Amino acid sequence: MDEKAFIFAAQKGDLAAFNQLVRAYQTLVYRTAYRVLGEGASAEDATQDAFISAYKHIREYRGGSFKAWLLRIVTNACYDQLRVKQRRPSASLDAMLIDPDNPAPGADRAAPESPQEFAERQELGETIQRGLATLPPDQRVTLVLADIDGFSYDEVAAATGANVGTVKSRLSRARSALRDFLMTQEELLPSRYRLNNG
Amino acid sequence: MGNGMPDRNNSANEHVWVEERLSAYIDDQLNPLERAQLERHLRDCARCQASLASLRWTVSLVKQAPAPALPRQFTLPLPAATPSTRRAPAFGVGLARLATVVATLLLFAVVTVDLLTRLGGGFAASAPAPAALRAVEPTSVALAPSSADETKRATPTASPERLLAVPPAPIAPTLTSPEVTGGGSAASETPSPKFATQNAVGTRTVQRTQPVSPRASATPTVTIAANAPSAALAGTATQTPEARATATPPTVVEARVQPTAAPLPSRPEVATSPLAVSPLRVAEIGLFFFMVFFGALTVMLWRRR
Repeated sequence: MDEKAFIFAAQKGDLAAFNQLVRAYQTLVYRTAYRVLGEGASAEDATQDAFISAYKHIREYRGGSFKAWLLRIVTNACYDQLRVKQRRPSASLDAMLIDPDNPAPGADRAAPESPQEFAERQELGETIQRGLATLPPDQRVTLVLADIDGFSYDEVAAATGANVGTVKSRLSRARSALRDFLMTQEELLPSRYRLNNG
Repeated sequence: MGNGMPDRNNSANEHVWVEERLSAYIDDQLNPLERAQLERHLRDCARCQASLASLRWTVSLVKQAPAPALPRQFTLPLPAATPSTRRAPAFGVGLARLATVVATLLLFAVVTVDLLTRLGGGFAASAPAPAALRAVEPTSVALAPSSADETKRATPTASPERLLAVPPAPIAPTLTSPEVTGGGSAASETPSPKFATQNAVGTRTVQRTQPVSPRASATPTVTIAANAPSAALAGTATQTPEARATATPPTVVEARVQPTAAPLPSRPEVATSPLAVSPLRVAEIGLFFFMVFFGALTVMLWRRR
């Protein structure tokens, strides 16, 4: 049963079919929410809210990229969570739990990661997460979708409701800002992640 | 310039222009003209080359960032049961309701028939010869002045003055005491359980001093109450085959004085045992339980919907 069949069944009210879609996209959705929101509890809330909202409005889905349609809902849920966090500032970034079986999307891993490499990568992740937290929400969402989730400009534009030109601009500013942040933190990064080593 | 390329004479503006497009350049999102102009600038500008390298490094680091582990499954909870299994089928409720209605109507019909039978049949059963009943009634009262409660607690040891006789049907002659002799005094004076044929309601005493006429045997109210203290009454009773009947038949003691008495034609014992289960009563009870059962089933199925 392919994705379209699950979507069609879910539009008919088949919750089991919708849950198949949830299983297919929950990692992506949670990862995006986590990167945008910076901590697990809010990311869980945003992910759950996004799937509930998607199920409620799945009849409004009119074709196209289901992933982009779903990410649009996720980003809106993240914005809602950010508004909540602005009203009620909570604790800082919590320690990120890394899934050893699910490495970073861009990471090419021919060999298993050693414990030291795993720890260094976790440290890198925490540094990046702190840098993401310095970005405005729009730039953060754009950078997460483009560089972490690996979406194209068109998909990012569809997910954020912006045009491609805006996506380019936001992504450029986001990368520049994050680069500046990382360069200030370079000495704290593991040696293999430093710019001069790159 | 059509593509927005700044004037080369303005170096600061050119650096800004390149810097703004480095991100798109990394992703190969520039049109060919912009790409050519940017690459031309990069060849001569070490500052922009360094900026490009640091930007690529940033993107590379972001892509190497570890993915957070999924804390839990986000599948939406399914209902306890799907509607098709949780809800009782509509036709099931309809059938249960129909069965309840049918059972109720049948019960009503049977009760009605039963009541009509009892009212009409009561006269017919207790007085196939209404004239005889009417004629006997005063005597019955005289014979049983305290018939109501006395007959209720009548036992085989009932006193002679409580002798009542209301057999709607002639009793088959069963000799229970050969030593009992006529006059009715034996049965009444020595009321012994062995002389009594006790049914669920009470006992019935019958003293037969002479052969019962065919007419009397055909009449349900043939039996006679013989009372020791009232010989005249007893005599009257024995002389009147039509006998005496009271409205309360519970106590009957049979005392046949003549073992050789001609047997009376047997009749159904419908009226001799008022609590005997008649077919109508069985139908009433059965229909009642059917009605209750299907009513409860209907309510249960309706709630499950």
